[in-house]
Amino acid sequence: MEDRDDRADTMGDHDLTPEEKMAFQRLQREAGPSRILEERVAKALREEGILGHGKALDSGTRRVAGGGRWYRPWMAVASMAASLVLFASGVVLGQWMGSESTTQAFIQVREQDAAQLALSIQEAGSAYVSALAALSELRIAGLGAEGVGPGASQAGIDLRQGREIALGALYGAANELARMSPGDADVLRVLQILEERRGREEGWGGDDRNVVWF
Amino acid sequence: MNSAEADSGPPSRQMTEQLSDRELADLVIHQGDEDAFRSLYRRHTPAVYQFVLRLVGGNVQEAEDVIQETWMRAARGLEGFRWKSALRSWLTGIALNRVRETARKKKRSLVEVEGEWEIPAAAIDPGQRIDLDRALELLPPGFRTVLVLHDVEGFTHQEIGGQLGITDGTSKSQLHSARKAMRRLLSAGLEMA
Repeated sequence: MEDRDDRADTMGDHDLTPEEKMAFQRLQREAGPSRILEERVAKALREEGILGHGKALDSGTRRVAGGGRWYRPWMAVASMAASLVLFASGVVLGQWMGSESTTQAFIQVREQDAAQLALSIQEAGSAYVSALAALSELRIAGLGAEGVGPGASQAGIDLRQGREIALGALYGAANELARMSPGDADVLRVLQILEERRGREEGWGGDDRNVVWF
Repeated sequence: MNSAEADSGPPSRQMTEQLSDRELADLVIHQGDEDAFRSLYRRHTPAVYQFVLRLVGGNVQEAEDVIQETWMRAARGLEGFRWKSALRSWLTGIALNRVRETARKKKRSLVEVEGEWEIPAAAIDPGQRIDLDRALELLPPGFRTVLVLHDVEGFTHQEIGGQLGITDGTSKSQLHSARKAMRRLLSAGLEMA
């Protein structure tokens, strides 16, 4: 674009006055759209297959299948081990910190606006699914064969507890969704299925079951 | 290609932020690298969004839809971009085309103003001077577009003509009317007091 002053487009008394030029120059040059827009765009591009090669979740699909240059077998084992350690320490830490940290998290969540909340849900949802995928890989790899009692491996116990936590979170989310959209028959159906399951599994694990349904 | 493609692994978010537009675009094209795309998005969206928001008269929903479609088209066409202009100019051009397409669908002209335009009195607070951004929002699209392109963004009449499919003369004449309307709006509140 040329300098405006170089243009031969004078309109006599309709030229901008210096004050008007100044006012135009002072106009804001940038503005932020809602943060959820970035997620919308990224999601749409992932769905089109334009993005996603470099993301952790896709490493198990495209990169492995295509022999991508960043994939190394030891990385999968290391990731699984790291996931396990993180998961187990998270559970222990969560139990230690108890209600105080939960209260703080609640306060933080309630201070967010709708866009922040939508983004938080997306991030938390991605983290939830990623962690479950890692847990599932562990199970498939046989590293965490499930079991109860003295003979069970620590990995197996963690795996079982992880599954229980995941179900609890799913139930909690379905409950909130149903509260938000009481007329949504699909959501209510999901909630009903989870409630039936919850009822059936009330005795799940007996005394060694230390995770509370949300 | 560049150092970002080193064999040791994908570039970190912090690293992608230091790369040029072209390096980031290469990562998006060849690796589908989401962090690289997000860096491009965060680098250019605020300016393009502000431009679009002004063109659509402050309609946030419409502006966001235009931005989404702009990035979708840009990402699909990134491989064909020849880098003869800055990426932001290219994005701005795509966004302007999207605004035109949206206006066409809504049968809203970005060039013509039908009949004698009158100040929307209900939108003016008597005794209050309105600011320039508010005045731009209140102008009909036929005035607003040329004013934003010429006086805010610095397009020449030739460029405006090329983008909107009109002659240089039409662009000049429209700018003349648009500035007149803008001045009426800027003093409207005080006159109504």
